Amino acid sequence: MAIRHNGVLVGKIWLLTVILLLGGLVFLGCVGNIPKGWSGGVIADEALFLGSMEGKLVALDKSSGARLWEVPFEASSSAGGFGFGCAPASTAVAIYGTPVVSDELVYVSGYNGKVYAINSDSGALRWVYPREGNLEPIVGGQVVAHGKVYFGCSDGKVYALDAVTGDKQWEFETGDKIWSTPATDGDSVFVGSFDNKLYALSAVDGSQEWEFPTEGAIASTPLVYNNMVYIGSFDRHLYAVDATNGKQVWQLPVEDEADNKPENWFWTKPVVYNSTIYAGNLDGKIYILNAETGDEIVDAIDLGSPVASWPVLVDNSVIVASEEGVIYALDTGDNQIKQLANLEGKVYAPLSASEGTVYIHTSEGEFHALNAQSGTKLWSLSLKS
Amino acid sequence: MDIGAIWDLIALQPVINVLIVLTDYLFSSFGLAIIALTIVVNVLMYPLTMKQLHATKAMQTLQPKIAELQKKYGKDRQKLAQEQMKLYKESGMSPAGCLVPMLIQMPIWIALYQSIIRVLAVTPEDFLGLSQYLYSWPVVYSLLPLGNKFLWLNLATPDTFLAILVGGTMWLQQKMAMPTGADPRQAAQSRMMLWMMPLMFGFICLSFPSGLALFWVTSSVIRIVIQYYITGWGGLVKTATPRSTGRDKRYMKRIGQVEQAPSEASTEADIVVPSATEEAGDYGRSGDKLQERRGGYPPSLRAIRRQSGRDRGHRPKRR
Repeated sequence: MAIRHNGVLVGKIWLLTVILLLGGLVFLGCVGNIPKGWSGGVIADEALFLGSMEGKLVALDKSSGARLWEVPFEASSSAGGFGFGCAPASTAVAIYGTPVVSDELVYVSGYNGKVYAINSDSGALRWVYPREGNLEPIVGGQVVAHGKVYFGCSDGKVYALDAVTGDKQWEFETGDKIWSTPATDGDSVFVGSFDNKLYALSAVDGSQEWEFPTEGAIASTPLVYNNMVYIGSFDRHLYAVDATNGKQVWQLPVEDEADNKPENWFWTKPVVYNSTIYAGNLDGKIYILNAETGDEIVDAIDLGSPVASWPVLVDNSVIVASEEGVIYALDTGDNQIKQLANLEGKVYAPLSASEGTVYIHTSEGEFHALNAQSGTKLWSLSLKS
Repeated sequence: MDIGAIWDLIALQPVINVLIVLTDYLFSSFGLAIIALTIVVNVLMYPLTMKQLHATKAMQTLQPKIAELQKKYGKDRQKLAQEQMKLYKESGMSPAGCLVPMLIQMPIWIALYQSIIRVLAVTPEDFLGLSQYLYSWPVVYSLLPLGNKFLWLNLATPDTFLAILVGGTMWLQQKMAMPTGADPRQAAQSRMMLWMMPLMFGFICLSFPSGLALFWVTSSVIRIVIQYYITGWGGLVKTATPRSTGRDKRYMKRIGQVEQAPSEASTEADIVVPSATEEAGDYGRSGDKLQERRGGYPPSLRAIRRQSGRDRGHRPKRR
């Protein structure tokens, strides 16, 4: 190699290094830093509603997948920074929480810190909360009960809004972010917080009934069944708590050194069928437990890929998706599992089901309807414009 | 196992978990953990950094000779390359001496950078993804998510002041590292680098989480300290005289021996004063003894400069 001039060579090498470094900084470190959302679908009559990754509430015909209407939401502010990639560069509102439908209104919340009530027939906006400004990002979904919409926010507060007008009824502050979707039972609202606690609040006025401490943050949504609250934590435990007084009934694993100790966070909401709890974990396993005692009914089933999306119950089967996009049906009778389909796309969104059909939203923006028995793809569509 | 998985296993996972554990030890402050790990990594890479800086400095010392060779054999690239290689060989230096330590350090910096980005977990997707990098240490699982507050900063969002600080400290370090008395082409490139790097990094920091900016500022401050140890204030002072460490002196001695010896290189590649050394003529006038004491150019180079002063660029006959 002819070295033209040492100084020039070193200078050029430096220049090349800087360019590579700057390029590397952007492409190696910042890929995936734009919030995209992982909303699941909710079914009401013949329509299915979900938040797309382009920041729209989309209404589909559940039988054919035909688009009925869509409503775009505006981001709270323009792209952060100068679009180099580490700051959110998209103006689309990420929608993480699955919408809920009640009395002809669809409620949906966005990462822009807004909650919207939309007419389910026309897509017309009924109200938005807050009317001015924005809350901190909302990652969990909302639940409707007692004429109120309950949701948690990254500002650490649980809010209760009037379901008809959107007026705030009460708020309750926890010690850290809330990404969990609240659950209701009777006059209580249950919600987990990143401050490591599960809270039970009065659905009427938001006063605290009890709190249950764990050793890790809580992002999963509580499951309420037979006066028990089941909640998974980042401390790699699944807890069963008495819904009345917040006392622990059992925990998985019983001891920290147990052989069946889960190896990662509980991120998803468990499902229950016939007094059996099915709890997915980010270690890729489904833990199958007796709801009353916490005893493992069979050894955990290893799917080989994290379980981040909520499973769904269809007839006698628990339909579960691995992060890699493989869909399984777990027979609740014999706890045997079979693969239904491989969507070859990441799945974080909660699964939903209606009349023997499972609906799955992948992170690539594809939406699929599968037959829950055979895994046959009934229809699928891209939600991208 | 693909290369990405190997990288995750050997580079990202250890750094991410150490960052989290450090946060636990440092009062649950992720900002302090970033600073501490940056310092630790710098300490571990200190020998490499020193090697790189010494080699760069020694390379700068050879610039007058290189420039002269360039002048003499500019049209014959092959001959020029041969003569340059001979000069490097005889002075015990190699252009790779500057590059190799830097190339070794690059993956380590990238791992640290990527780890900080991942632990910051700006979006829910990032946070969920972070779970796959964790060791099964109880503290790691329980501590997440880490608090993003540090001083006035939200480490997950950009901060203008810190972006300016990144640019400022980088400029300072670059300026200190700038060669004094370089030939005009090299000086022009150094000037370009002096401004380009800090401006680009500062500009990028306006978009990046300030946790990364904190990492860059800490790195720059450490480099400033090391640079000061090697070159003193370097290019910051107009008539700066470089500091000499033991290793520098060894380099200089070797270069001096090469120059003083009636080697083939000195007979064939007749060293004549390049214009750049004329700019540095003050050194010669300021007194050889003083320069020697301060570790300046070796005697033969100073002789060349004196010759330069007399000849004013006239090229002596080739022996």
